[in-house]
Amino acid sequence: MEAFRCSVETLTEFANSNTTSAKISSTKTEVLLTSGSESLLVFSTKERRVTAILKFESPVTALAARGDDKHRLFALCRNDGVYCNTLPTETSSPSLLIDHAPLPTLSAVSSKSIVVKDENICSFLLVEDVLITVSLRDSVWNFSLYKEQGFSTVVEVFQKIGEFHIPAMASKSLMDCVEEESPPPVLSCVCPSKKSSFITDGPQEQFFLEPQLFTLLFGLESSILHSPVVLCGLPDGRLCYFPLCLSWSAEPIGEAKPPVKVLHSLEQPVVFIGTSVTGEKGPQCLVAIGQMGRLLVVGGKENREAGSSFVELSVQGPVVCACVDDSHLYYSTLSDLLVLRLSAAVTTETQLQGSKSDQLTLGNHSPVGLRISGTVAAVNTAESGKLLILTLRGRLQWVKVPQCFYKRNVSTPPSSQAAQRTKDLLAGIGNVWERAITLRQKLLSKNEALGRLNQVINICALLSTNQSNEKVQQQPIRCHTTTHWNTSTEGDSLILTCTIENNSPFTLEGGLILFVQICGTPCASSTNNTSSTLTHSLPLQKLDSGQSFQVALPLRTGCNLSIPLSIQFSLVWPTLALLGLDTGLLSVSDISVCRFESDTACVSLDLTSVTVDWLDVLRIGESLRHRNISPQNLPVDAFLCSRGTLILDEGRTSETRPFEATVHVSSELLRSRLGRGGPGDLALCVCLLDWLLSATPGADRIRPLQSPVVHGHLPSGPSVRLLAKEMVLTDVCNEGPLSVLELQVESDSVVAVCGLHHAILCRLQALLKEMAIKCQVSRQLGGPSLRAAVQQAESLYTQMQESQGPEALGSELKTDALFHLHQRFSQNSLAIL
Amino acid sequence: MSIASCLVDRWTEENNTIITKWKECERCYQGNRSVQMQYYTESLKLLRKIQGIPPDFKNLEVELTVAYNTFLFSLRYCERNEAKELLTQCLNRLTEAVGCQVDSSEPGDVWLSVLRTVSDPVSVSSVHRLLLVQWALWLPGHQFERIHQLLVQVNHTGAEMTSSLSDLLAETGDLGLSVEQSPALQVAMVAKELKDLLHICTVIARGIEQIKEGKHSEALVGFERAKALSTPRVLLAQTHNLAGRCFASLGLPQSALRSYRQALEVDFGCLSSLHHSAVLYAELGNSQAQMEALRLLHSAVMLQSGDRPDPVSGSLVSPAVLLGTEHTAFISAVPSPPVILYTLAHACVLNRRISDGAEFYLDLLASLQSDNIPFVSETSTDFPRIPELYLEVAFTLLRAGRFWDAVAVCDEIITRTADLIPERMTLDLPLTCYRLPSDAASATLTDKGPESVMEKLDCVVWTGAAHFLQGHAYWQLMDTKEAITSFTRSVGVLVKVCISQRGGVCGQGRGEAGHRVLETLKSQALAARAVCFSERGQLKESLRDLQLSLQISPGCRSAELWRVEVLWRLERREEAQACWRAARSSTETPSLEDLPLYLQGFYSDSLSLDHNNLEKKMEKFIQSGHKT
Repeated sequence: MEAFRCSVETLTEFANSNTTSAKISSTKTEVLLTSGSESLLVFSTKERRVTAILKFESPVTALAARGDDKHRLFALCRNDGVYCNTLPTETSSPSLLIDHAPLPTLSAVSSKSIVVKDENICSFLLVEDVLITVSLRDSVWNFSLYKEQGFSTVVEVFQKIGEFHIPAMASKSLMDCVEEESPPPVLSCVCPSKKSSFITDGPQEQFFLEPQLFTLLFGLESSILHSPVVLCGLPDGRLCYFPLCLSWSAEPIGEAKPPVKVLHSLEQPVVFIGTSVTGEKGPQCLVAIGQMGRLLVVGGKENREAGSSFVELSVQGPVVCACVDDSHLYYSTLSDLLVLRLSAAVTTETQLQGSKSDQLTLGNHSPVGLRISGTVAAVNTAESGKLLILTLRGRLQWVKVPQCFYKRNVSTPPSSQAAQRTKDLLAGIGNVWERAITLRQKLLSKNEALGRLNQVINICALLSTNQSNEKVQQQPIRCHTTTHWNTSTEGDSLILTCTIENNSPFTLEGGLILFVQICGTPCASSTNNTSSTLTHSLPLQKLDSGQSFQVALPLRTGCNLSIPLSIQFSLVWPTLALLGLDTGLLSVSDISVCRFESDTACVSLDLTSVTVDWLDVLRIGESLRHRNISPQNLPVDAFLCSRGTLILDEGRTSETRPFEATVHVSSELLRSRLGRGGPGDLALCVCLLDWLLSATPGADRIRPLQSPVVHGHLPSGPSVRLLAKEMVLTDVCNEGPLSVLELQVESDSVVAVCGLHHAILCRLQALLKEMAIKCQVSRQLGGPSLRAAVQQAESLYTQMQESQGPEALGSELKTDALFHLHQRFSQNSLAIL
Repeated sequence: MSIASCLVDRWTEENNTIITKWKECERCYQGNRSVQMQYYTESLKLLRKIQGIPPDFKNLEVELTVAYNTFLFSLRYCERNEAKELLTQCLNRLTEAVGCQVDSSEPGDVWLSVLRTVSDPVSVSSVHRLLLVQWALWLPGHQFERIHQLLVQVNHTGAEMTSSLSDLLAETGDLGLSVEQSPALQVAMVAKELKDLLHICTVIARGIEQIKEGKHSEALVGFERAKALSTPRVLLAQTHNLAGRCFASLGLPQSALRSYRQALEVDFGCLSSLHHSAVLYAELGNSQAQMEALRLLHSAVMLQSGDRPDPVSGSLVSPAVLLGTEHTAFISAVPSPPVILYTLAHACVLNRRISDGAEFYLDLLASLQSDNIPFVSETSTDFPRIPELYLEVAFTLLRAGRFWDAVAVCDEIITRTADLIPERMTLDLPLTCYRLPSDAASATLTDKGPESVMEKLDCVVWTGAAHFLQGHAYWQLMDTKEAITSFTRSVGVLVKVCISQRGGVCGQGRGEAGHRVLETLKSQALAARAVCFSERGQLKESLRDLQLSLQISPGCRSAELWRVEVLWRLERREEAQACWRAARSSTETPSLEDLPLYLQGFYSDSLSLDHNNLEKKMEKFIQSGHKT
């Protein structure tokens, strides 16, 4: 048994009384106590001293104080009756000398103060203005009710208003020898608790009980009338009760039913009756304890079956005195003051074992000793857990049971409430769980977003460092394209296949978008100079390191192609992906809807830019014989129509003689660049053509090239011949004849010639740019030829300037002049060194 | 010698001072208990002083007068034993002073010798005053025998006691006491007054004894004779009142009423006669007068219990002291206000003064619910159980058309009884019938079996009745749906009781009565539900309920007519005709007389059918049936 250290405050100490018949009664400011002698002490808790001593004519056996406006005390004296006296009021002024506390006033109470004279009265109780006395006469217990008549103010007059009897038990005579020691009957008053006022600060014998149990125990009528019920624990162990304000003889048949009924029998002298286990509607248990330690707990049944449960428990006796508070029973066995926690659960727990067994274990509800011995009288105070006790040695003490004791024994609610509370708790847990789940999801998505951001930043860093050098081949993330033609009934269409290769150590996360921007050449003839731009955004799937991703983009069908096309590849990472939005469906317009600036909302990384020129769209090896399309029906007509009438006319007139354009490149240069072919070898020509047509669709079919002549045709119809031959220019260089490679483009269509010429020049230019870094060729160019070339170029430039001037002649003349210029330009005999 | 006379003078002076002061107090109506006690103490002190010297004949007058005064002061509150002791002491000193020897300590013998010895007129009057004290002390104990002896000795000194006790009043009437007093010595109460008071009190006490013994006519003789006496008004009114009671018991109600009226004329505070006249009016069937009497009684009681100064607190010797508490309670017994109010309300309802009855019932409920503890006195046998009272209130409110109030009152019952209704209970009729009342009285203390069964049965009936009344309230509010719910609940509660009939039939007893109420209630609830159903057009359900209702309590005319109506509406004409004939041939209706008030009078009111219409219909059909 774990002991609790409770705080004890000794108020005062009297002489050893050595009697267990001491009694205490307390009001708000005063404690009345008697040790069973003739004197009654009035102790002021405020001043901590005895303020008055009342001397009665015979020993005081019971007392009660009324702290109401009349300030009265009631005392029962042996062989005398019930006295009523006003409490001596403090008249003496506070003493100036602290050392000499004022002496208590001593006053004798004469028999004039007797309000009910009956020498057989054993016990009394005051309920409001009704005095109830119990007396034993001729082995009959008499209950008498006296009502205070409020007419006389000085001396109380009590008028008898009722009396009834119950016979004492026959076995009483057998116990005659111990009769002297048996305690007097215990009277308590129990009221049904109202909603507002079940917390009692009334007299200590007045208890409340929750209405439901009250109805079950004491009947419907008392409950309806809110009638107090007087409970009496007789020395023979019977617990009798009678309602205080009912029509007792109101029986339908008229048989006189005695109002006193027996609730239970403890079969040992009753020491205390009270109520405890305060619930929402008031105390839930009726508690009675017998002298030998038998404890009766009456509670309501949990189930709906009507009835109450009477549970008897046993504690170690003998019990000298007892009191209760909200949830505990305190009882004294003289050797110790014990606390027993009462709960409604006691009732249900031990119910099954039946109320018959005498030694019922209390389970975990075992009494706990407070290690205070010799308590002979105890009353609880208004403060929970604080008792006022009087010990055998005459000490008046305040005992405060530590809060930890209460904390450990948190009172359990009744199971009906418990079910509700459990439901509430479960619902609460559910709510928390839901919130935790959503929080976790958010956290996960944020983590994911951070991971993705990390990847993206890595890739950004990677790409931005690599963007400076133009070596596409070494870029970890590469994008390259191929073109091929797709033939269908609706017409041929050019398919651009782009492949992204991820050679970086990072993973390209899903959510990245491959942005493909296709720009056509600005149309010369159109009035507005805007280029036609087409944008594709392709969401990338997750691309691990080493994987590649291929996508096919249809370019426009043949007739609508505006070649060369410049295609810009970039990786775009919309920052909104961070917010967990589905970026797969995002377009730029969506982003703007989200009130993000399109540039700030996206991280854009340029990958590659590719140009699709005429060489890429040339169809090699497929002669027109496969396509039996008459020239009249050829789409070229439409194409040329779109290009202007002049060109169409020109095309017609040039049927006799195809247009041609030539490019001269130093063969040495080419050789060093392409890295193969010997001097004067046919192979160099083949090699050059091979290089030029490496990306051309259909070129595979004729490769390796056998001859330096390649025939092809454009999608729009006109056939094209590419011819490469080696020749020697003598007048160009001072050092001697220069071997150059002449690349000739021949076609019926001027557009094709121009386009191819331009494409070849562009490619060579790109090739030579790389070369220029490597080889430092210093050649002495021949002066005269150079001069002639410069002069020619100058004159061409001048003419072009003139033709572009605003004062130029009509459009026909202008185009004519330009065409001639072009002819001359393309016949330019300059060689690229 | 001179010292003695000096002492006598001083004592006389002291006595006179005390008495003078007391008279002043008495005049100012301040002679309350504590003041009286104070004078008693002073007087007693003086007496002790006088008794401090050996008894002397010369001091006798002073001593006896002071003793007389002391006793008068003491009568109100002092212990009888104390007074008796004091009296014995005085008598001893008296015998010593007059020099007679008494062997017996019996007061009667002492008095005998004293009366024989004392002959001096001054002393005789003093002795006689003391004798009045002895009378006053014996009277509350109803020791008429001893009083009689004593008085006989006064009248016929030395004569043997031959007359019987019945002549006591005669002896008292011509009691030849010498009550003249010396003007020098003042007394608190003139001996003549005390003698008259004692006389009338003796008459009343004796009469009450006789009434209790059942000797009404003899008691009446005494009362009639006492009317001629000069007595305080209160006591005269009581004699009239008691005479009235004797008349009533002798079967002379008109004379009784006259006596009661006389009592009230003498003293309107004699509420007991008001109460008894109300009872008598009720017996005579004059309900109007009964209600009037009850109303007066109630207002008078309420007035009194408010703040009433004790009417006899001022006088030194009150009749209540002389009569003893028991007899005082007997003559002034008035039911407590709740009982009066209940009787009044009940009478109003029975006499169709519904709205008054409702008001009185509500007053009663309010007084019962008030905070100060209402005490219903033990003698009231006609106060119902509290739930029954609530049901009566609900019934009255229903009749008064205050439907929602009725519903609220019923709700109170339903919520209170909710915990007490068992899931199922069995009522063992013969078993409860065999229990004798005396058995029941003693058995209640030890076993809770049949008693608790009856209690449970009561609870079931109360709850069922509360639902039933609620159903009626809803029905009157035209809410048939809610009404059906309530009636169904009522039936549902009532069928929880299983009746097990074992052995013979027993007509009496609580169980039988409870059973009858239960069955009637069940039948009525079913019939009422049937009416609701038919109103809603659910004719089959209606017919089923009517059949069940008639099965439970056959012979209920209203239910039978309803069955005809429902069968007619169901196009079951032949059956309707058969039922119609059966209903017409049977004339007996179960009597509702001994049923609780709340079960009476529903068929006649709300649920009744237009009989004429039905009758015409049926006659026409029967005739046409005969023709075809």
